[in-house]
Amino acid sequence: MNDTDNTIYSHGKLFISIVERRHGENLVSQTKRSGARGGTILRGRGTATSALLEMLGLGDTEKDVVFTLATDDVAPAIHDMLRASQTQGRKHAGISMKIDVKRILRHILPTELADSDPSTQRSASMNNHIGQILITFILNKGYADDAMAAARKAGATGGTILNGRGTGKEEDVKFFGISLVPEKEILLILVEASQADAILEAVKKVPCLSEPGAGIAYSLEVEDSIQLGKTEA
Amino acid sequence: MNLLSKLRETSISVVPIILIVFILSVTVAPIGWNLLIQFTLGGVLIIVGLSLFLLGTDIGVIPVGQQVGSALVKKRNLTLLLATGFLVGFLITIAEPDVQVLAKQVASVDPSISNTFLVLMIALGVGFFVSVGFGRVILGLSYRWVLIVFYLVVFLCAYFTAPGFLGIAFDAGGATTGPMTVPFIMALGVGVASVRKGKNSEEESFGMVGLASIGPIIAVLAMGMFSKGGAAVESVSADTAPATNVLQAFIHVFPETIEEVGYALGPLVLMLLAFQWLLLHMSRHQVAKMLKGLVYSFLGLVIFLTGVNGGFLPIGSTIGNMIGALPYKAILIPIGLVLGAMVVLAEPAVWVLTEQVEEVSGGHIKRSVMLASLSIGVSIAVGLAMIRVVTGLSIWWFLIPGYVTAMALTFFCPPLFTAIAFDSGGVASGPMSSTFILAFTLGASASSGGNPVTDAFGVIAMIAMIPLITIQILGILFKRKEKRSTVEHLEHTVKETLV
Repeated sequence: MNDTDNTIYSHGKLFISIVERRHGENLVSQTKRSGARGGTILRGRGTATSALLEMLGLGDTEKDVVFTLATDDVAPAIHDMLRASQTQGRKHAGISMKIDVKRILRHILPTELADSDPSTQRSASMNNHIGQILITFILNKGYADDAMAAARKAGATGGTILNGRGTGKEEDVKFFGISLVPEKEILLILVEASQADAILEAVKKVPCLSEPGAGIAYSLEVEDSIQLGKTEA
Repeated sequence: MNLLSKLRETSISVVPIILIVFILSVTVAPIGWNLLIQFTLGGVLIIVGLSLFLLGTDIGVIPVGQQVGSALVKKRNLTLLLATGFLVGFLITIAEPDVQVLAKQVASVDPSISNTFLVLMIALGVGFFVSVGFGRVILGLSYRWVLIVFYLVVFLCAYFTAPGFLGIAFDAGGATTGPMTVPFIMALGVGVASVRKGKNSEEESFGMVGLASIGPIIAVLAMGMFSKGGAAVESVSADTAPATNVLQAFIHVFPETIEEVGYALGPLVLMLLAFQWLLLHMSRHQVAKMLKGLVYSFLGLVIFLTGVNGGFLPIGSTIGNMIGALPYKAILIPIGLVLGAMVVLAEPAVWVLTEQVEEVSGGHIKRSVMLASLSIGVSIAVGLAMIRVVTGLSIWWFLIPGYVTAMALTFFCPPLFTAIAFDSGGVASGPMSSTFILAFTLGASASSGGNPVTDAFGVIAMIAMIPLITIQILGILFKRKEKRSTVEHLEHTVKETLV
């Protein structure tokens, strides 16, 4: 173990939780109590879940998207906590996805210095059954709704849109000394594995998204998804 | 669904106003059941209208305005950017119904001034300052110094102008930035700033509305400088006769409101369509969404204003009248404090601003905190306005110390909060204050034997001024808290490493 380098790579899970606006902080403090070291809250926009609301333009909802990175030692506790929150009623309505992360780069805790035995960092056996896929589209600003409309026709139920900025260009476009950056929208859609390809294909075919430079998409395997705050019927 | 959560949020801010009026009606101002029912009905219309309007701006005006702002910057043509800014400001203002109302007020002070000329001047002023706002972001000029320079111009003009114009001029700054213009101008600013790289982008997102509201002040003051002055001051009739039937009050104002909102929205729609053809080329889906948003904003604003004009305006002046006539009229001051605190929460543009602030700061500056400091600000403002009604002090005694304080605070406050503060000045003085609060103040002033024109006008100027101070104080508090928490965090880490 190198003394000057107090960082460490460990195996873990990424929880992406999508909850109603202003409930993000609550979720973060809950995960912290279960051992998470922090969380990052992004402000997202949920798309319509029904065609009628979509047609009326009433479907958008405000969301908080919470990213929680957890190493293997605390991930199960967080997972259990999220599952337990199912019984907490409407207040925390949302969804949480668990994604496997090969390497988390982090500062080592002082308490870990003694027993940073690499063997403890080995991954817990993961089940290979893949039920769901998280498709992520990074698109030029404004086009996430078009992509969502196409995805909905191919079977997706709903998605969440985040705002972002691109940094892909090799040199910045300047205007009076100001560097201009392209604005992006990030669309997250959680789908059944069997539908994923059809949805990607459908979005690919949208005319305004088939030009070069329109965007990029990738899909991630989701180990488990947890309905938050759903009251058992 | 958003509509439901919006309904819930707007109810929370409107219901307290209704409760206050109920309390007043059983204590000092017995206005009777008929008017109370009319007022409550107005409140319901306000809740529904406000929710619909906000929903519409969320999916229509704001996203498209932001895209227009970004697209303009990406063209990398300064002349185009400034010219478009000017045109947008000019066209939007010419169509703003509040400007027409203001022109009539000015005419009541000096009938020799032509309405059309004044409206033209105000629109030129707003156009110029929207242009300045764009230019400032691109050229990287500090918001503080731009403000200081132009407010010096304002006070220089104010020194030379006829005194009758003072209150109206400062009212104009707040009043002309109406509920339709504010979201669009604000969105443009956010859009322009959002394509800027670097951490300053957040700071440059706001401040457009604050600058735009300087335009009308200078325009009216300039008119006052050329006015022959000292013209006959007509007594302002506080209100029309109360309608006999509760429903009639609303039906009466409905067509007028549709016309007003239509006038305000018309040029905006034409501009958005022009932008779509020339600049944006959005997909059909996006255009459809924008149009839906515009329809909701239109309906929402019509319902909202019907509620305000039919329900809140007449009751405001009646209550003001009754309380002003009381032997202990100093009670106006606490009532003003309470009403001010409540009413600002029902201003449409306030909701739009706080939402944008929350969005741009990524949730760092919470809406609830913004609303609370705005509420305190407007509460103080209306309280001060009531002191003027009771004592008849000149507005100078308030404006000069107020603006000097606001300017001085810019040196201590983080730039982001300075920009938000000057925006909130224009935003807090929306249709609720220019009807309900103004009517209340006029009524109180008339019945307490004051001079409504000099005493009561100026209330909007106060509402536009005090938030400049309270929001900047909020900024200073934020800065201190952040410093402290960073220090605490460092200490914590050091301790942890030592252990």
